Amino acid sequence: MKSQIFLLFIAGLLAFSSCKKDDDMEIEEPTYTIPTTYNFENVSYGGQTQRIGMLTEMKAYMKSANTSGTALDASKLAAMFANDAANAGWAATYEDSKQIRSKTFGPVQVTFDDLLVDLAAASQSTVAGTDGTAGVVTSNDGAKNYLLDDQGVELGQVIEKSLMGALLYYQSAGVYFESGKIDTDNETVTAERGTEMEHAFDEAFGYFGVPIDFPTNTDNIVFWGNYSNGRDDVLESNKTIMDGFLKGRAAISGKDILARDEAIKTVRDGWELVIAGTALHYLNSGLGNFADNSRRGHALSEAIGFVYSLQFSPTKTITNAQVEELLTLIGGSASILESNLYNVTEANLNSAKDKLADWYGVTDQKDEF
Amino acid sequence: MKNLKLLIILLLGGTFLLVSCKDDDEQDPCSSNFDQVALFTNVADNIILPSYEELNSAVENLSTKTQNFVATPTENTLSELQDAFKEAYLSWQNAAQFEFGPAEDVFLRNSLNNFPANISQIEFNVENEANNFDQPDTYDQGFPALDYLLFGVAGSIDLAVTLQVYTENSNKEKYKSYLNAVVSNIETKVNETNDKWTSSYRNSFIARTGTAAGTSLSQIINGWNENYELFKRNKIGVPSGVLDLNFPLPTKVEAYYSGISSSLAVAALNASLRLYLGMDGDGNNGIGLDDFLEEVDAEKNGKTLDAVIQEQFASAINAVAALPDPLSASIENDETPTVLAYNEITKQVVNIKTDLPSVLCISITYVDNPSDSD
Repeated sequence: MKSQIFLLFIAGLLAFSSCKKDDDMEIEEPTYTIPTTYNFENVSYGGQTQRIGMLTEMKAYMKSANTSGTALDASKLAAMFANDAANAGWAATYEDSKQIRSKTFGPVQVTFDDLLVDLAAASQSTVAGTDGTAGVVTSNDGAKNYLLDDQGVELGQVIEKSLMGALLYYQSAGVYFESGKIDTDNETVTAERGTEMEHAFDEAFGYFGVPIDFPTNTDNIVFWGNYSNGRDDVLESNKTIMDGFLKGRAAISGKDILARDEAIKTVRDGWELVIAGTALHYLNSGLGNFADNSRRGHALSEAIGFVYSLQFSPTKTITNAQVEELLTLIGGSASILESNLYNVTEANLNSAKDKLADWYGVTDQKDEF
Repeated sequence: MKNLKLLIILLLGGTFLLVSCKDDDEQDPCSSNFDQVALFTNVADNIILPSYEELNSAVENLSTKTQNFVATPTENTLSELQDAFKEAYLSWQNAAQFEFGPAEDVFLRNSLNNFPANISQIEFNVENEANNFDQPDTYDQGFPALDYLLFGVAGSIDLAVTLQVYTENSNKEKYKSYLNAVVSNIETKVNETNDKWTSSYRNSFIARTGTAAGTSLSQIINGWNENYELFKRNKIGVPSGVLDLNFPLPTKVEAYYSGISSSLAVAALNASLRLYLGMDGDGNNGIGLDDFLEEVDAEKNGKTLDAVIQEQFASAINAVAALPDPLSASIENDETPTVLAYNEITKQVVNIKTDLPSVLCISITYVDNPSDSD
């Protein structure tokens, strides 16, 4: 097969070269430099910054329920999710047109509507949480408090981490890097926006949550930027992913589409590995705190969210069925709406860990995360 | 065997060379001796006109059955109306591929078959008696709206339960009025399209020879391809989940409430094949695009391009026909067969959208898959 493709290639070359006229044959070698920071011309991703801001506020509000006696308002959570500014109670100002919900992967938007309702319901509890009763659960050493639902799940973590997948990662890997967005005009430059292709790429970058001089500078890293940094000692993910973004953007401005596509693959693969590595990290944490309902519930709720997030790239390594298999091993259900972390077993957690590590080729490092 | 393949590849490469190096005085591959008028005449008289005529009479029947039902809502009149709906929806599948000229003038495809229906919009329209359909881009009209109104409006496919909406519901008059409006909008647009084709468009269609955009050959090939791609994406691709990170979306099938999605899809694919072959509804094979390909000796992978296209149609039709109705339930149970069908349907696109138009010197002029903005 390979040799045939090669022959076709040769034939194509022949066809090409045999037709050339002497004066119109100038092969343009793409020449451009790749800078060391994301300091390109006309970069803008204000919409992404705003959505990350909204998600940050929502996260803080959800976490407030970890203090016993703090009841969350379901309508406020829904308003934050859909940027209904009148009821969201935002600290910052966001444009009406920007919201989290509409940019969340369509088929799962209602899943988050439901999770937010469940979280608000669990937060109404005024008693300590136990198996069968929602409420704040304190860690064995008394240092940590987490609001767990009646099945031992910290819904705030499930929501935040799953949204990082279904919103931030999805928008980059599954929307802005996709043909419908990235294969667009690369000639007409609009001030403070660049070409449409440059802009699409910048918007993908905007969802990663890092400053333009990352990873030299790791101040103010949020969401995925933060977790990439957390996995960097094992995966060297910071430089890999950031270099991908830098190469890709430079390639677009240099009209080098092949290099752009290579860079997109680098970013997608690196990002996906950060997600898998972070899921492993929290599986390890859940196993390490297995006898502690509070810490185990917290860690495994994170693990559920990260495993769930693995579904949102078109070039994903594992299938949705494999994701469901892992979710079932961890929380007893393929649905993140029905996880139970009081019934979890060490054997199942180890099985999830081994499978995940195997599928991502990191079996040798599985204990290092 | 291996040598044969090599030879073919070298030949292909050679062809490439020849084509790309032709001088101006060599024969133009676009100016074949094929009789375009004969093709257009067959397509118009034996495919397009009968398709519209059949659709038109099915829609007239739908209108009659609607009036009967609205005047006397019983299980019997409802059941007859449901049957008339299914028949009209099926015959639409034959007519859907001619979205140019008269059909394009009235936005026939969007007016008749934008799906999935927007249920909350429909309910809003009913409540507010918003019975105008001046916007073709909405999802509250045409067959998908009827699918909901006749099979899903009560949340159950049960005849008696559905009937209650038109006999006992406090908004029953509004529902009847909306039902009437949806049907009469379909009727008006189909009538108009059919009238234009029979009165004048047929003759100008037959006369418009050539290969430029706007010629009849360009319209046939573009309309045929665009419809095929819509079929691929909307009827099969979206519900199977392949376009959405493999999350199956069974409620997005065509005819979700009546559950005849698969039958409609098979009908659409057969219509596509017949247009290609120049075959009428009774199976009489006249002059079609296949004959055109034969005339210019189009080849692909060591076979005639015609054979490649026909084989792929057969595979796609087999795969789609294997999907049991209701398709939504099939997908919910296991989306794999629908994904496989999608893959078979997809394999045809390069044959009919790239190879065939290039051999026949036709440009694809429609823009598919408009993506939403930031």
